[in-house]
Amino acid sequence: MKNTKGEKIFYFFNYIFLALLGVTTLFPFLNVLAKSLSSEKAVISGKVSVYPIGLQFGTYKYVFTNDQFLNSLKVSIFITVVGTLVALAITVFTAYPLSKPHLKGRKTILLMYIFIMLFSGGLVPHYLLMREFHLLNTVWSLIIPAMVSVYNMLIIKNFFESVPESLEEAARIDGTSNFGVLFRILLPIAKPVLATIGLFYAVTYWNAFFEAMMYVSKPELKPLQLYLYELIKQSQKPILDVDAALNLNSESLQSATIIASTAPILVVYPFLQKYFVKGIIVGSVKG
Amino acid sequence: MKFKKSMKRMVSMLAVLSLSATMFVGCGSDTKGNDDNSKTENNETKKEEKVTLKHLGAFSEFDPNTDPVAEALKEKTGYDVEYFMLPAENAIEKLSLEISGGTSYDSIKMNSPEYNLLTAQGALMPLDDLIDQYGPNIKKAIGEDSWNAAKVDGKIYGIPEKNSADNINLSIGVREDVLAELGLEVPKTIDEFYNALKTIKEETDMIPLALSSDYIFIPTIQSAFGIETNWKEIDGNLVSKVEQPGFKDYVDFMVKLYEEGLIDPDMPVNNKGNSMEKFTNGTAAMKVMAWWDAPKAIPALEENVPGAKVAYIQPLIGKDGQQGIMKDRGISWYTAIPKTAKNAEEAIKWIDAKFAEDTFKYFTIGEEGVHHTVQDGKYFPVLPTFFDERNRSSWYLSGIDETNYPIYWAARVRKDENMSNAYDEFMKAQSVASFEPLGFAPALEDLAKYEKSLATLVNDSVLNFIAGEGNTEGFDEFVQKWNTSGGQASTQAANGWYNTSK
Repeated sequence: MKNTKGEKIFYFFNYIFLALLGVTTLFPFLNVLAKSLSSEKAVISGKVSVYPIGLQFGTYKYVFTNDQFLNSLKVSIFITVVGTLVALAITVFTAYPLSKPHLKGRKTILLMYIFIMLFSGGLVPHYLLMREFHLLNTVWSLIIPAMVSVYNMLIIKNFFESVPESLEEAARIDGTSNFGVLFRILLPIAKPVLATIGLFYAVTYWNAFFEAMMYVSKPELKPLQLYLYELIKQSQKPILDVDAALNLNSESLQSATIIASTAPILVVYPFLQKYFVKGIIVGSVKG
Repeated sequence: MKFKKSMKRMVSMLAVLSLSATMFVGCGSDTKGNDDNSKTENNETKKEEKVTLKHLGAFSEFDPNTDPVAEALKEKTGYDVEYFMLPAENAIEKLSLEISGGTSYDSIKMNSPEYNLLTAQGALMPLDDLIDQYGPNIKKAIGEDSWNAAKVDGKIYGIPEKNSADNINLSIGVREDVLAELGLEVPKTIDEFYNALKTIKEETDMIPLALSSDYIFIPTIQSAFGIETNWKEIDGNLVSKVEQPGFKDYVDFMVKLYEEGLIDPDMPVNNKGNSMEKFTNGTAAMKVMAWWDAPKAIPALEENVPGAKVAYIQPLIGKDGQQGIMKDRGISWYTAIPKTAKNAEEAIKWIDAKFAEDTFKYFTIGEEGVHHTVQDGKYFPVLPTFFDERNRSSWYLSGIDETNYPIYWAARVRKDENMSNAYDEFMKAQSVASFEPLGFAPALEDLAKYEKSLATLVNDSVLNFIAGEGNTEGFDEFVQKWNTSGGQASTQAANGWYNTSK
């Protein structure tokens, strides 16, 4: 059907408006990028908007030779890779049995999971628990608490439930065991869901800083996001200590650190994004 | 065929199982490994009578375990120390958590609010006997005033660390070239100051004074109204700034400046960065500055406005000749030992070793000729060695050698010409500068309780007079509110201490 003249005009302006709206969301990001590449003089006199002025790469050189940054990067990569793998494994092992209606006590177990999804013991008990397990100031204190996300577990469980029972029955007639069914039948079909949940976990682990703030006091165990958070917070605080004032980092350097620590996860996104929507819908909508 | 298949299945299952098993074993054994290590370390060190001390410090952006200063300290004191840090945010909450969980730190460096909290909780060890026994150097280095500030009910729970030097930190930077063009001199009195702002407003299109909402109490201007410090002795009693006679006049003056457009109209929404932008790109003629702003601000300004020259205004002289400014002195840190510490004695010995004269000098400013040079009794840094190897010394302090450290410390300011110039200019006001009377007060519960909320109340109300109401008609009401929201209690607490300390 043809659009009327009025509609055409409406669409024209609508698209322009939406495009502008899209561009505005990019602005802050471009601004930080430009600042990271500009000279400090240009940055403090407020001349930098979306393109660099007084182009320099010294800030990036500094960031990538800074021991603290590299150390934190290592910690973050370790947590993200190991954490995601462990979390995926545990989540699948939890979700699979719970997707079977004949499992005894299934409802009770599920209720317990949902209960902890809504209510939490609070920070102090968590801290004491970590302490009693001797996990404080270890890298595992950053991995273990986030290992099973109930939400993610439910998505995978729903997916398993949506797989026709006959598929599994066929496999069992051929003599496949429980593990066999899981690893050879279900998981290959579940790839989109696993990719999505894996990305969820990866993003959670990559962005986590609160656990580190509470459970870790060793500077060499700080993940990247905490390093970044503290770097920025420190410079925004009113200056009380003269010696702190003497060591303030420049804004270009902060911006370079922000870019350098956002880039890795940004690179992973596009490759997994296509699974995103598909993965969630496949899991939740049942035909 | 079938056998083969099941073999394959077995193999893959085993592979998966062993994989997941190693994951668990991995994390299990790792933590165990750590424990074992620390145990054997303890055993070994016991034989040698040296332990690895655990020290918790405030947040800073470096790793104290790998810094050259840590090495220097280890070399001189012989102690192995593992350093930990509080987070930049929620530090006090984290510290409470650690303490209530029964920490094993041997020493903790904390700020006053943290010290107040932990002494109130009874979490710290009294140190009097330990210092008497093992701390001759500590006793020698720290003065009586500082010790008094650390006392709670007559006992010392932390080693007080005085500010590095008696600095004057704030002034107003002014474009001397702009003033010269208008035939004006750098203002000395409050009238000259007002006149300068007025002339800039009338003759140029510059913003006379760039200001942000968190800097509305400007020491340089307060000087002319007789307000130097937050508390001041009047007729034998300490009176808060809010109730000092000149305070209303100061607020009136600021209201007038804002009403007449002599202060940046964007002041209420400006932050530090905005007002710095306006000053450095040449749109504003004056700005409240700290001397450590100079190394960034001056080069930026010179690039944007060739020929620009900055002078710093001395504390302005009032109508009746009043002049004064606050010296930054007081206790900024305490190093304490928690009751749960395992090696309290060793910790005190370690701290004492840091105060030994050559050790203290070595880890704070290094060796002469390598890290610093001395000219006419003044210390100058050797660049870049000084800042590569001694930049973070202050983090490792557990108190300062109160006679020598201010002299050593000044080397830090001399790393940059602009900073050094600004610092020297600011310090010219020494003759009219005075100390904050409460800078050496011990932990006063009522003061600590209301400090933050009162500061917010004062800042918000005065900001509202200046930028909102445009007059000070509600001033008496504000003082009343200040009194009922904890001001009165604070005044009583302050005087309670002041009268006994005299």
